[in-house]
Amino acid sequence: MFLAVNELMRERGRFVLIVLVIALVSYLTFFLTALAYGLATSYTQGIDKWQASGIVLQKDANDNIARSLLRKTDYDTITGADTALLGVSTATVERENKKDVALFGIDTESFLQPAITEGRRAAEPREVVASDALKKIGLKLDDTLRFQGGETEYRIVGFTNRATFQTAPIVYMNLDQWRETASELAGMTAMRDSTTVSAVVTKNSTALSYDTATMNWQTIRDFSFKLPGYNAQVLTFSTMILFLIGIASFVLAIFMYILTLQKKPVFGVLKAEGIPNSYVSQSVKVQIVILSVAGMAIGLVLTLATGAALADKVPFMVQPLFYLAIVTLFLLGAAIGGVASVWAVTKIDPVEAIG
Amino acid sequence: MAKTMLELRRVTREFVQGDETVRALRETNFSVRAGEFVAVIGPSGSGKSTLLTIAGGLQNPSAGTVVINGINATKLSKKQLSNVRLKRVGFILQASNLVPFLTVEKQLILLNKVVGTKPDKAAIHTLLVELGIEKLRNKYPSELSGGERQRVAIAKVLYGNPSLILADEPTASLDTTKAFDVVQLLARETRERGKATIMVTHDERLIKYCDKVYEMRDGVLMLRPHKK
Repeated sequence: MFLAVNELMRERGRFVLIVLVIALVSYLTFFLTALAYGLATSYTQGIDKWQASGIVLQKDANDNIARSLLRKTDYDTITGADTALLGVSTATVERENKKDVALFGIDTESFLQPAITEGRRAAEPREVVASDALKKIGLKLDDTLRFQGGETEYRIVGFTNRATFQTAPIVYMNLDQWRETASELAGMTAMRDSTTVSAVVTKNSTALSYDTATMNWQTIRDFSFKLPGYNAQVLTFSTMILFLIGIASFVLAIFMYILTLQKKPVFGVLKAEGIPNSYVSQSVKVQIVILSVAGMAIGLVLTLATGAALADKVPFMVQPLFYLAIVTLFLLGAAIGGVASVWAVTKIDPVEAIG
Repeated sequence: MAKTMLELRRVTREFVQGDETVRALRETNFSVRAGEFVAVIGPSGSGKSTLLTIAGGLQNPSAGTVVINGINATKLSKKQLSNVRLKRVGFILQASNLVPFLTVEKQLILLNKVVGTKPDKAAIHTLLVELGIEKLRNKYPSELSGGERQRVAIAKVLYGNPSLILADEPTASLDTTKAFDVVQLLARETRERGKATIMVTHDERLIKYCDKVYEMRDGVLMLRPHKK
């Protein structure tokens, strides 16, 4: 401790640079992780908030909810207290900018109804609850909106937060209204009948009895990974981040090792004087911990500051668990450098320092 | 008779270099008592440094026994030997053995930190005053002259209160006045504090401060007739 701290104080300039490098590398890693997680979240948070166990789609839809259509005759046997009917389609809203949205047709009494953060639930057919992400294009409570390609006007009676699906903000409406809207909008297949929905969401059940020839049940997680682009994106980002962490910890380890090697003559003399390996090694370890913790702390502060500054423009989201994993991996990398350094200290021949 | 602080009995040191056996130290019997200041002179490569590293417990002899302050050093493990060096032996090296990032005062305190004792501020003060380096206590080695650095090295060694002091060319980087200064100081402290000091040097002018002078030639140590 004594050696470590005194050296840090004396060689401030050098150590500040090292801390800076560690800070920048961890900043990059933390920030990229927050972006990747934010993006991944904006794909699925609209369905994650259901806290449902699974979803039933039409088998021929090949896991694509936009093409899935189920009728009462299909889902009659599986609907019950812990299931809910869902209609999903897409539309475009135009205000200050154009914005693609996801239309969710739900039974407002079911568990698919999102928690309202502003305003109230939709009660009338032409009333909708919108994701608060739509405020960015200028929508307010009690505004009327129209979807491109349709004539019908809707009134926004409520907002809900964290409501996006495949990065598009969600507009919630009554299931009957959804059938009407989806049929009206250009490009939408006409509804087969007045019982048509896109999917049945199950809250708890995992074992359902249904016609496996026409329908297919899967967990929400499996369903998420089959969303177009989601899997590829998660895979790309996680690979990138893993490599980044790997390389950064390796750089950190090399830094520490070089730092120790530079002091080889000093350590040699100390060992000749009878100062035990353990004391010298401990000093190396203390330095590694101080440098990496300081660097990562600065990196984290920079990340949070940037996140706060860019919150409206990028899908930035901090996941403490990921950060914990990154910090652990970084410390592991530093520890490897530390072990190599300690090994180098042990190998120093004190006779050389004298001779 | 003063206590024997170092004794080498039938000590030899050989090592193999290529297919040749180098006899760095032939059978040597050698002892130093408390309060004795001994010089070992000889040309470079004569085995002086080998003698010093064996005497200081830095390496074991090929044969024979090394006794440091009553402890048979040849029977100790590396760790135990390191502990003997820490507690019983002080080294003063050519280019001073100071830690570059510690101030003069902290060079001494380091020893306390290693063994886990409280620094004796009064003893440090007395020592620094005695060696004329009190004003330098907050300076780093790079801010000191060569002579000042060797004084600090001596202070560091004395603070550790060893039985045996080994000085390897302590004046190599100093001019004549400063060299005399440092050796005089070393001789004085050796006698006053009852240490056993061995100084390896090739500078004949310094031996006038020593009690005994040995000459090393091709691995053979011989006592030289010497009058102070």
